Amino acid sequence: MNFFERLQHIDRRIMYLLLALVISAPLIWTIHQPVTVSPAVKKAYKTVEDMPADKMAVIVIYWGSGTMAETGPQTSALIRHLFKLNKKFAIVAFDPQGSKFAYDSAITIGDELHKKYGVDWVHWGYKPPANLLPLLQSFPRDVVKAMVADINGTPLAEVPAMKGIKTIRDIGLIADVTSVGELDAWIAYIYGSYKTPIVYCPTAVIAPEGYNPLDAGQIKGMLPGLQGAAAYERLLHVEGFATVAMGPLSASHVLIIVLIIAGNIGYISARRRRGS
Amino acid sequence: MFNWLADVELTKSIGIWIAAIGTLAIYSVLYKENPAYRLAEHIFIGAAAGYGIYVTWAELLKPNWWDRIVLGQWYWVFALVAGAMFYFIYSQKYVWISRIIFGTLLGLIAGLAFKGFAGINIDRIHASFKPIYGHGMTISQVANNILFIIVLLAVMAYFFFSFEHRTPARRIPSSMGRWFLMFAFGAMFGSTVMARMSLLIGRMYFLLHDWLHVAH
Repeated sequence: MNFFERLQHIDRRIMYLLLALVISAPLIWTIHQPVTVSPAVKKAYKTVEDMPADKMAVIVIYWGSGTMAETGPQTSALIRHLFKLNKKFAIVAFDPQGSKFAYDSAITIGDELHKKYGVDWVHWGYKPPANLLPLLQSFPRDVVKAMVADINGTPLAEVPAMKGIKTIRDIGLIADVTSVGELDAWIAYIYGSYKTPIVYCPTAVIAPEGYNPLDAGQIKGMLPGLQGAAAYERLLHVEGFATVAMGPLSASHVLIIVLIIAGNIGYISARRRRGS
Repeated sequence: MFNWLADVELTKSIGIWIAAIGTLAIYSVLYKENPAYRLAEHIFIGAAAGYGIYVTWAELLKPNWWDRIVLGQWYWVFALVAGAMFYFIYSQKYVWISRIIFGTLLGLIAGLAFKGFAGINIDRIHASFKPIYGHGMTISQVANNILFIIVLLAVMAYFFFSFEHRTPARRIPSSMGRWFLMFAFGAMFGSTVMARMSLLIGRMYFLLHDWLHVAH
Protein backbone atom coordinates (compact mmCIF):
# COMPACT_ATOMS: atom_id res chain seq x y z
CA MET A 1 0.00 0.00 0.00
CA ASN A 2 1.60 3.29 -1.12
CA PHE A 3 1.27 6.69 0.55
CA PHE A 4 -1.79 7.80 -1.45
CA GLU A 5 -3.66 4.58 -0.77
CA ARG A 6 -2.83 4.92 2.92
CA LEU A 7 -4.42 8.38 2.91
CA GLN A 8 -7.74 6.71 2.09
CA HIS A 9 -7.42 4.14 4.84
CA ILE A 10 -6.35 6.10 7.92
CA ASP A 11 -7.38 4.11 10.99
CA ARG A 12 -10.45 5.79 12.55
CA ARG A 13 -8.81 5.49 16.00
CA ILE A 14 -5.95 7.70 14.81
CA MET A 15 -8.52 10.25 13.63
CA TYR A 16 -10.29 10.15 17.03
CA LEU A 17 -6.94 10.64 18.76
CA LEU A 18 -6.10 13.62 16.51
CA LEU A 19 -9.54 15.06 17.20
CA ALA A 20 -9.06 14.71 20.97
CA LEU A 21 -5.68 16.46 20.68
CA VAL A 22 -6.87 19.39 18.56
CA ILE A 23 -9.80 19.94 20.93
CA SER A 24 -7.76 19.58 24.14
CA ALA A 25 -4.92 21.92 23.17
CA PRO A 26 -7.02 25.11 22.76
CA LEU A 27 -8.90 24.26 25.98
CA ILE A 28 -5.70 23.88 28.01
CA TRP A 29 -3.81 26.80 26.41
CA THR A 30 -6.88 29.00 25.98
CA ILE A 31 -6.98 30.19 22.38
CA HIS A 32 -9.48 33.00 21.89
CA GLN A 33 -11.31 32.90 18.62
CA PRO A 34 -13.06 36.05 17.37
CA VAL A 35 -16.83 35.55 17.50
CA THR A 36 -18.96 37.03 14.73
CA VAL A 37 -22.49 38.01 15.69
CA SER A 38 -24.93 37.11 12.92
CA PRO A 39 -28.06 39.20 12.16
CA ALA A 40 -30.20 36.31 13.49
CA VAL A 41 -28.50 36.50 16.92
CA LYS A 42 -28.71 40.32 16.95
CA LYS A 43 -32.45 40.07 16.27
CA ALA A 44 -32.86 37.57 19.12
CA TYR A 45 -30.96 39.89 21.48
CA LYS A 46 -33.09 42.87 20.47
CA THR A 47 -36.32 40.89 20.87
CA VAL A 48 -35.38 40.04 24.46
CA GLU A 49 -34.37 43.68 25.10
CA ASP A 50 -37.66 44.97 23.65
CA MET A 51 -39.92 42.67 25.66
CA PRO A 52 -42.23 44.87 27.80
CA ALA A 53 -41.13 44.85 31.45
CA ASP A 54 -44.63 44.02 32.74
CA LYS A 55 -44.77 40.81 30.75
CA MET A 56 -43.20 37.42 31.37
CA ALA A 57 -40.84 35.48 29.11
CA VAL A 58 -41.22 31.71 28.77
CA ILE A 59 -38.09 29.62 28.23
CA VAL A 60 -39.06 26.30 26.68
CA ILE A 61 -36.65 23.48 27.55
CA TYR A 62 -36.88 20.70 24.98
CA TRP A 63 -33.44 19.16 25.48
CA GLY A 64 -31.65 16.65 27.69
CA SER A 65 -28.14 15.62 28.63
CA GLY A 66 -27.35 14.48 25.07
CA THR A 67 -27.22 18.03 23.69
CA MET A 68 -26.35 19.90 26.88
CA ALA A 69 -23.10 21.26 25.42
CA GLU A 70 -25.11 23.30 22.89
CA THR A 71 -28.44 23.98 24.53
CA GLY A 72 -27.05 24.51 28.05
CA PRO A 73 -25.05 27.66 27.09
CA GLN A 74 -28.01 28.97 25.04
CA THR A 75 -30.30 28.58 28.07
CA SER A 76 -27.75 30.17 30.44
CA ALA A 77 -27.21 33.15 28.11
CA LEU A 78 -30.96 33.82 27.88
CA ILE A 79 -31.44 33.47 31.64
CA ARG A 80 -28.54 35.85 32.33
CA HIS A 81 -29.89 38.41 29.88
CA LEU A 82 -33.40 38.33 31.39
CA PHE A 83 -32.00 38.61 34.93
CA LYS A 84 -29.86 41.59 33.89
CA LEU A 85 -32.90 43.30 32.38
CA ASN A 86 -34.96 42.61 35.54
CA LYS A 87 -37.55 40.84 33.44
CA LYS A 88 -39.54 37.93 34.85
CA PHE A 89 -39.40 34.55 33.17
CA ALA A 90 -40.82 31.06 33.51
CA ILE A 91 -39.14 27.81 32.53
CA VAL A 92 -41.28 25.00 31.13
CA ALA A 93 -39.56 21.71 30.36
CA PHE A 94 -40.53 18.93 28.00
CA ASP A 95 -37.57 16.76 29.02
CA PRO A 96 -37.10 15.49 32.59
CA GLN A 97 -33.30 15.92 32.49
CA GLY A 98 -33.48 19.33 30.83
CA SER A 99 -35.95 20.40 33.53
CA LYS A 100 -33.34 19.80 36.24
CA PHE A 101 -30.41 21.24 34.26
CA ALA A 102 -32.30 24.46 33.47
CA TYR A 103 -33.44 24.78 37.09
CA ASP A 104 -29.86 24.40 38.38
CA SER A 105 -28.58 26.85 35.79
CA ALA A 106 -31.14 29.51 36.76
CA ILE A 107 -30.43 28.98 40.49
CA THR A 108 -26.65 29.42 39.92
CA ILE A 109 -26.99 32.55 37.75
CA GLY A 110 -29.75 33.87 40.04
CA ASP A 111 -27.48 33.56 43.11
CA GLU A 112 -24.73 35.40 41.23
CA LEU A 113 -27.09 38.24 40.23
CA HIS A 114 -29.09 38.24 43.51
CA LYS A 115 -32.34 37.02 41.98
CA LYS A 116 -34.84 34.98 43.93
CA TYR A 117 -36.78 31.94 42.85
CA GLY A 118 -40.53 32.50 42.96
CA VAL A 119 -40.15 36.28 42.78
CA ASP A 120 -37.96 36.93 39.74
CA TRP A 121 -38.54 33.63 38.00
CA VAL A 122 -40.51 30.42 38.24
CA HIS A 123 -40.21 26.88 36.93
CA TRP A 124 -43.50 25.45 35.67
CA GLY A 125 -42.09 21.93 35.87
CA TYR A 126 -41.87 19.04 33.47
CA LYS A 127 -44.59 18.36 30.91
CA PRO A 128 -44.52 15.20 28.76
CA PRO A 129 -43.84 15.91 25.06
CA ALA A 130 -47.13 14.20 24.12
CA ASN A 131 -48.93 16.99 26.01
CA LEU A 132 -47.41 19.76 23.90
CA LEU A 133 -50.33 20.25 21.52
CA PRO A 134 -53.10 20.14 24.17
CA LEU A 135 -50.99 22.51 26.30
CA LEU A 136 -50.58 24.95 23.42
CA GLN A 137 -54.38 25.04 23.20
CA SER A 138 -55.07 25.49 26.90
CA PHE A 139 -52.30 27.63 28.39
CA PRO A 140 -52.86 30.73 26.22
CA ARG A 141 -56.36 31.08 27.71
CA ASP A 142 -55.46 30.43 31.34
CA VAL A 143 -51.78 30.01 32.21
CA VAL A 144 -52.25 29.17 35.89
CA LYS A 145 -55.00 26.63 35.28
CA ALA A 146 -53.02 24.87 32.53
CA MET A 147 -49.63 24.80 34.24
CA VAL A 148 -51.14 24.08 37.73
CA ALA A 149 -48.03 24.01 39.97
CA ASP A 150 -44.34 24.87 39.94
CA ILE A 151 -41.45 22.40 40.11
CA ASN A 152 -41.75 22.22 43.90
CA GLY A 153 -45.48 21.47 43.83
CA THR A 154 -46.52 24.98 44.92
CA PRO A 155 -49.76 26.03 43.20
CA LEU A 156 -48.87 28.71 40.62
CA ALA A 157 -51.56 31.03 41.99
CA GLU A 158 -49.46 31.26 45.18
CA VAL A 159 -46.15 32.03 43.41
CA PRO A 160 -45.41 35.82 43.54
CA ALA A 161 -43.74 35.82 40.11
CA MET A 162 -47.07 34.77 38.58
CA LYS A 163 -48.91 37.85 39.86
CA GLY A 164 -50.69 39.49 36.92
CA ILE A 165 -49.85 36.61 34.54
CA LYS A 166 -53.16 35.23 33.38
CA THR A 167 -53.27 34.64 29.63
CA ILE A 168 -50.92 34.59 26.63
CA ARG A 169 -51.38 38.38 26.45
CA ASP A 170 -49.22 38.59 29.57
CA ILE A 171 -46.46 36.56 27.92
CA GLY A 172 -44.03 38.81 26.02
CA LEU A 173 -41.67 36.22 24.58
CA ILE A 174 -41.30 32.50 23.94
CA ALA A 175 -37.67 31.30 23.79
CA ASP A 176 -37.66 27.77 22.39
CA VAL A 177 -34.40 26.05 23.37
CA THR A 178 -34.61 22.71 21.64
CA SER A 179 -32.87 19.69 20.19
CA VAL A 180 -36.16 18.53 18.63
CA GLY A 181 -37.97 19.99 15.62
CA GLU A 182 -41.13 21.12 17.43
CA LEU A 183 -40.82 24.79 16.45
CA ASP A 184 -43.67 24.52 13.95
CA ALA A 185 -46.11 23.74 16.77
CA TRP A 186 -45.19 26.97 18.56
CA ILE A 187 -45.48 28.91 15.30
CA ALA A 188 -48.81 27.35 14.37
CA TYR A 189 -50.61 27.68 17.69
CA ILE A 190 -48.88 30.56 19.48
CA TYR A 191 -47.36 32.89 16.88
CA GLY A 192 -50.09 32.11 14.33
CA SER A 193 -52.93 32.80 16.76
CA TYR A 194 -51.53 35.42 19.15
CA LYS A 195 -48.42 36.88 17.43
CA THR A 196 -46.33 36.29 20.56
CA PRO A 197 -42.66 36.80 19.57
CA ILE A 198 -40.65 33.57 19.38
CA VAL A 199 -36.86 33.31 19.67
CA TYR A 200 -35.53 30.00 18.40
CA CYS A 201 -32.48 28.36 20.00
CA PRO A 202 -31.91 25.04 18.21
CA THR A 203 -28.96 22.68 18.15
CA ALA A 204 -26.82 23.17 15.04
CA VAL A 205 -28.21 19.94 13.50
CA ILE A 206 -31.71 21.39 13.20
CA ALA A 207 -30.69 25.05 12.84
CA PRO A 208 -31.14 25.10 9.01
CA GLU A 209 -34.88 24.51 9.59
CA GLY A 210 -35.03 27.84 11.38
CA TYR A 211 -34.06 30.05 8.45
CA ASN A 212 -37.40 29.75 6.64
CA PRO A 213 -39.50 30.94 9.60
CA LEU A 214 -36.85 33.58 10.34
CA ASP A 215 -37.14 34.89 6.78
CA ALA A 216 -40.94 34.81 7.02
CA GLY A 217 -40.89 36.75 10.32
CA GLN A 218 -42.46 33.86 12.24
CA ILE A 219 -39.52 33.84 14.64
CA LYS A 220 -37.84 37.00 15.87
CA GLY A 221 -34.27 35.79 16.09
CA MET A 222 -32.23 32.63 16.38
CA LEU A 223 -29.23 31.27 18.29
CA PRO A 224 -27.95 28.44 16.06
CA GLY A 225 -26.10 25.91 18.22
CA LEU A 226 -23.01 26.61 20.26
CA GLN A 227 -21.87 29.35 17.88
CA GLY A 228 -25.17 31.18 18.47
CA ALA A 229 -24.66 30.91 22.23
CA ALA A 230 -21.09 32.29 21.89
CA ALA A 231 -22.37 35.24 19.83
CA TYR A 232 -25.04 35.91 22.47
CA GLU A 233 -22.39 35.77 25.21
CA ARG A 234 -20.40 38.34 23.26
CA LEU A 235 -23.41 40.68 23.16
CA LEU A 236 -23.79 40.18 26.92
CA HIS A 237 -20.02 40.80 27.45
CA VAL A 238 -19.72 37.47 29.22
CA GLU A 239 -17.10 34.79 28.62
CA GLY A 240 -18.89 31.50 29.23
CA PHE A 241 -18.36 27.97 27.99
CA ALA A 242 -19.64 28.81 24.49
CA THR A 243 -16.97 31.51 24.03
CA VAL A 244 -14.23 29.20 25.33
CA ALA A 245 -15.43 26.44 22.99
CA MET A 246 -15.02 28.51 19.82
CA GLY A 247 -11.23 27.85 19.67
CA PRO A 248 -11.56 24.04 19.85
CA LEU A 249 -14.55 24.18 17.49
CA SER A 250 -12.52 25.97 14.80
CA ALA A 251 -9.56 23.63 15.36
CA SER A 252 -11.78 20.55 14.98
CA HIS A 253 -13.29 21.93 11.77
CA VAL A 254 -9.80 22.57 10.34
CA LEU A 255 -8.83 18.97 11.15
CA ILE A 256 -11.94 17.59 9.44
CA ILE A 257 -11.32 19.75 6.34
CA VAL A 258 -7.68 18.53 6.23
CA LEU A 259 -8.84 14.90 6.54
CA ILE A 260 -11.43 15.35 3.77
CA ILE A 261 -8.79 16.92 1.48
CA ALA A 262 -6.27 14.15 2.32
CA GLY A 263 -8.85 11.46 1.59
CA ASN A 264 -9.73 13.05 -1.75
CA ILE A 265 -6.09 13.50 -2.76
CA GLY A 266 -5.54 9.83 -1.97
CA TYR A 267 -8.63 8.81 -3.96
CA ILE A 268 -7.77 10.91 -7.05
CA SER A 269 -4.09 9.87 -7.03
CA ALA A 270 -4.94 6.19 -6.64
CA ARG A 271 -7.44 6.42 -9.51
CA ARG A 272 -4.88 8.10 -11.78
CA ARG A 273 -2.27 5.46 -10.99
CA ARG A 274 -4.77 2.70 -11.77
CA GLY A 275 -5.66 4.48 -15.03
CA SER A 276 -2.03 4.77 -16.13
CA MET B 1 -23.34 6.51 59.00
CA PHE B 2 -24.54 8.67 56.14
CA ASN B 3 -23.35 12.01 57.56
CA TRP B 4 -20.88 12.36 54.69
CA LEU B 5 -23.86 12.84 52.37
CA ALA B 6 -24.40 16.27 53.96
CA ASP B 7 -20.92 17.37 52.84
CA VAL B 8 -21.77 19.27 49.62
CA GLU B 9 -18.16 19.51 48.38
CA LEU B 10 -17.53 15.81 48.93
CA THR B 11 -20.71 14.68 47.18
CA LYS B 12 -19.96 17.10 44.32
CA SER B 13 -16.47 15.59 43.93
CA ILE B 14 -17.89 12.06 43.97
CA GLY B 15 -20.43 13.12 41.32
CA ILE B 16 -17.70 14.55 39.10
CA TRP B 17 -15.59 11.38 39.43
CA ILE B 18 -18.58 9.15 38.57
CA ALA B 19 -19.39 11.36 35.57
CA ALA B 20 -15.75 11.36 34.41
CA ILE B 21 -15.44 7.56 34.67
CA GLY B 22 -18.80 7.21 32.87
CA THR B 23 -17.66 9.55 30.07
CA LEU B 24 -14.39 7.63 29.59
CA ALA B 25 -16.24 4.30 29.66
CA ILE B 26 -18.67 5.50 26.97
CA TYR B 27 -15.87 6.88 24.77
CA SER B 28 -13.90 3.62 25.13
CA VAL B 29 -16.20 2.19 22.43
CA LEU B 30 -14.33 4.39 19.93
CA TYR B 31 -11.38 2.02 20.38
CA LYS B 32 -13.46 -1.12 20.39
CA GLU B 33 -16.57 -2.69 21.93
CA ASN B 34 -15.90 -3.60 25.57
CA PRO B 35 -17.67 -4.47 28.87
CA ALA B 36 -16.93 -1.05 30.46
CA TYR B 37 -18.85 0.65 27.64
CA ARG B 38 -21.76 -1.78 27.95
CA LEU B 39 -21.91 -1.28 31.72
CA ALA B 40 -21.87 2.53 31.45
CA GLU B 41 -24.49 2.45 28.69
CA HIS B 42 -26.87 0.30 30.76
CA ILE B 43 -26.35 2.39 33.88
CA PHE B 44 -27.15 5.56 31.91
CA ILE B 45 -30.30 4.10 30.34
CA GLY B 46 -31.50 2.75 33.69
CA ALA B 47 -30.75 6.00 35.54
CA ALA B 48 -32.41 8.15 32.85
CA ALA B 49 -35.52 5.93 32.79
CA GLY B 50 -35.78 5.86 36.59
CA TYR B 51 -35.32 9.63 36.84
CA GLY B 52 -37.93 10.11 34.10
CA ILE B 53 -40.48 8.07 36.05
CA TYR B 54 -39.79 10.04 39.23
CA VAL B 55 -40.13 13.42 37.46
CA THR B 56 -43.31 12.29 35.68
CA TRP B 57 -44.86 11.43 39.03
CA ALA B 58 -43.53 14.35 41.08
CA GLU B 59 -43.99 17.16 38.55
CA LEU B 60 -46.88 15.87 36.47
CA LEU B 61 -49.15 13.17 37.86
CA LYS B 62 -49.05 14.22 41.52
CA PRO B 63 -49.94 17.93 41.15
CA ASN B 64 -52.21 17.47 38.11
CA TRP B 65 -54.04 14.31 39.05
CA TRP B 66 -53.36 12.69 42.42
CA ASP B 67 -53.53 15.89 44.53
CA ARG B 68 -56.81 16.84 42.88
CA ILE B 69 -58.38 13.49 43.80
CA VAL B 70 -57.09 13.76 47.37
CA LEU B 71 -58.55 17.28 47.62
CA GLY B 72 -62.01 15.94 46.75
CA GLN B 73 -62.17 16.26 42.97
CA TRP B 74 -62.99 12.53 42.74
CA TYR B 75 -64.05 12.72 39.09
CA TRP B 76 -60.35 12.84 38.09
CA VAL B 77 -60.40 9.06 38.66
CA PHE B 78 -62.02 8.83 35.22
CA ALA B 79 -58.73 10.00 33.68
CA LEU B 80 -57.34 6.63 34.78
CA VAL B 81 -60.21 4.87 32.99
CA ALA B 82 -59.49 6.78 29.76
CA GLY B 83 -55.77 6.01 30.06
CA ALA B 84 -56.43 2.32 30.73
CA MET B 85 -58.52 2.08 27.56
CA PHE B 86 -55.32 2.32 25.47
CA TYR B 87 -54.07 -0.98 26.90
CA PHE B 88 -56.99 -2.97 25.42
CA ILE B 89 -55.04 -2.92 22.17
CA TYR B 90 -53.35 -6.06 23.55
CA SER B 91 -56.66 -7.95 23.83
CA GLN B 92 -58.14 -9.50 20.68
CA LYS B 93 -61.58 -9.69 22.30
CA TYR B 94 -61.75 -6.14 23.67
CA VAL B 95 -59.61 -4.28 21.14
CA TRP B 96 -62.71 -2.21 20.22
CA ILE B 97 -62.38 -0.40 23.56
CA SER B 98 -58.92 0.92 22.60
CA ARG B 99 -60.28 2.01 19.20
CA ILE B 100 -62.68 4.43 20.91
CA ILE B 101 -59.89 6.31 22.65
CA PHE B 102 -57.49 6.10 19.69
CA GLY B 103 -60.21 7.37 17.35
CA THR B 104 -61.01 10.30 19.65
CA LEU B 105 -57.33 11.20 19.91
CA LEU B 106 -56.74 10.93 16.14
CA GLY B 107 -59.76 13.13 15.45
CA LEU B 108 -58.49 15.80 17.83
CA ILE B 109 -54.96 15.70 16.41
CA ALA B 110 -56.20 15.77 12.80
CA GLY B 111 -58.22 18.90 13.56
CA LEU B 112 -55.23 20.54 15.24
CA ALA B 113 -52.93 19.58 12.37
CA PHE B 114 -55.27 21.20 9.85
CA LYS B 115 -55.28 24.41 11.86
CA GLY B 116 -51.48 24.18 12.19
CA PHE B 117 -50.89 23.73 8.46
CA ALA B 118 -52.40 27.12 7.66
CA GLY B 119 -50.62 28.82 10.56
CA ILE B 120 -47.23 27.53 9.47
CA ASN B 121 -47.31 27.76 5.68
CA ILE B 122 -49.29 30.84 4.68
CA ASP B 123 -46.71 33.25 6.14
CA ARG B 124 -43.88 31.33 4.46
CA ILE B 125 -45.56 31.32 1.05
CA HIS B 126 -46.22 35.03 1.46
CA ALA B 127 -42.56 35.63 2.41
CA SER B 128 -41.39 33.90 -0.78
CA PHE B 129 -42.96 36.68 -2.90
CA LYS B 130 -39.97 38.98 -2.74
CA PRO B 131 -39.67 42.31 -4.55
CA ILE B 132 -36.79 42.77 -6.98
CA TYR B 133 -37.33 46.50 -7.28
CA GLY B 134 -38.63 48.99 -4.76
CA HIS B 135 -38.04 52.33 -3.17
CA GLY B 136 -35.23 52.27 -0.61
CA MET B 137 -33.95 48.82 -1.53
CA THR B 138 -30.15 48.46 -1.51
CA ILE B 139 -28.24 46.67 -4.27
CA SER B 140 -27.46 43.76 -1.93
CA GLN B 141 -31.16 43.36 -1.06
CA VAL B 142 -32.06 43.31 -4.76
CA ALA B 143 -29.29 40.78 -5.47
CA ASN B 144 -30.39 38.62 -2.52
CA ASN B 145 -34.01 38.64 -3.63
CA ILE B 146 -33.14 37.80 -7.25
CA LEU B 147 -30.93 34.94 -6.06
CA PHE B 148 -33.74 33.72 -3.77
CA ILE B 149 -36.26 33.71 -6.63
CA ILE B 150 -33.86 31.90 -9.01
CA VAL B 151 -33.11 29.21 -6.40
CA LEU B 152 -36.81 28.83 -5.48
CA LEU B 153 -37.90 28.40 -9.10
CA ALA B 154 -35.00 26.09 -9.97
CA VAL B 155 -35.64 23.80 -6.99
CA MET B 156 -39.38 23.72 -7.77
CA ALA B 157 -38.49 22.83 -11.39
CA TYR B 158 -36.40 19.90 -10.11
CA PHE B 159 -39.43 18.50 -8.27
CA PHE B 160 -41.70 18.84 -11.30
CA PHE B 161 -42.10 15.20 -12.31
CA SER B 162 -45.22 15.46 -14.49
CA PHE B 163 -43.20 15.31 -17.72
CA GLU B 164 -39.71 14.32 -18.82
CA HIS B 165 -36.98 16.96 -18.64
CA ARG B 166 -35.90 16.63 -22.27
CA THR B 167 -35.73 20.13 -23.70
CA PRO B 168 -33.07 22.58 -22.41
CA ALA B 169 -35.81 24.90 -21.09
CA ARG B 170 -36.90 22.12 -18.72
CA ARG B 171 -33.55 20.39 -18.19
CA ILE B 172 -31.37 23.38 -17.28
CA PRO B 173 -33.55 24.80 -14.44
CA SER B 174 -34.02 21.25 -13.12
CA SER B 175 -30.26 20.64 -13.20
CA MET B 176 -29.62 23.98 -11.47
CA GLY B 177 -32.20 23.01 -8.84
CA ARG B 178 -30.33 19.80 -8.14
CA TRP B 179 -27.08 21.74 -7.69
CA PHE B 180 -28.74 24.22 -5.36
CA LEU B 181 -30.13 21.33 -3.32
CA MET B 182 -26.63 19.82 -3.12
CA PHE B 183 -25.27 23.14 -1.80
CA ALA B 184 -28.06 23.22 0.79
CA PHE B 185 -27.41 19.62 1.88
CA GLY B 186 -23.69 20.39 2.12
CA ALA B 187 -24.39 23.39 4.36
CA MET B 188 -26.75 21.28 6.49
CA PHE B 189 -24.14 18.55 6.81
CA GLY B 190 -21.57 21.18 7.85
CA SER B 191 -24.02 22.32 10.52
CA THR B 192 -24.38 18.70 11.67
CA VAL B 193 -20.60 18.35 11.96
CA MET B 194 -20.52 21.53 14.04
CA ALA B 195 -23.21 20.10 16.33
CA ARG B 196 -21.35 16.84 16.88
CA MET B 197 -18.06 18.64 17.52
CA SER B 198 -19.83 20.92 20.01
CA LEU B 199 -21.03 17.90 21.99
CA LEU B 200 -17.53 16.38 22.01
CA ILE B 201 -16.04 19.71 23.14
CA GLY B 202 -18.61 19.81 25.95
CA ARG B 203 -17.42 16.45 27.26
CA MET B 204 -13.72 17.28 26.75
CA TYR B 205 -14.23 20.55 28.63
CA PHE B 206 -15.86 18.66 31.49
CA LEU B 207 -12.93 16.21 31.68
CA LEU B 208 -10.22 18.88 31.44
CA HIS B 209 -11.89 21.65 33.44
CA ASP B 210 -14.19 20.11 36.03
CA TRP B 211 -12.32 16.84 36.59
CA LEU B 212 -8.61 17.37 35.90
CA HIS B 213 -8.57 21.18 36.42
CA VAL B 214 -6.09 21.73 33.58
CA ALA B 215 -8.36 23.88 31.36
CA HIS B 216 -9.29 27.48 32.12
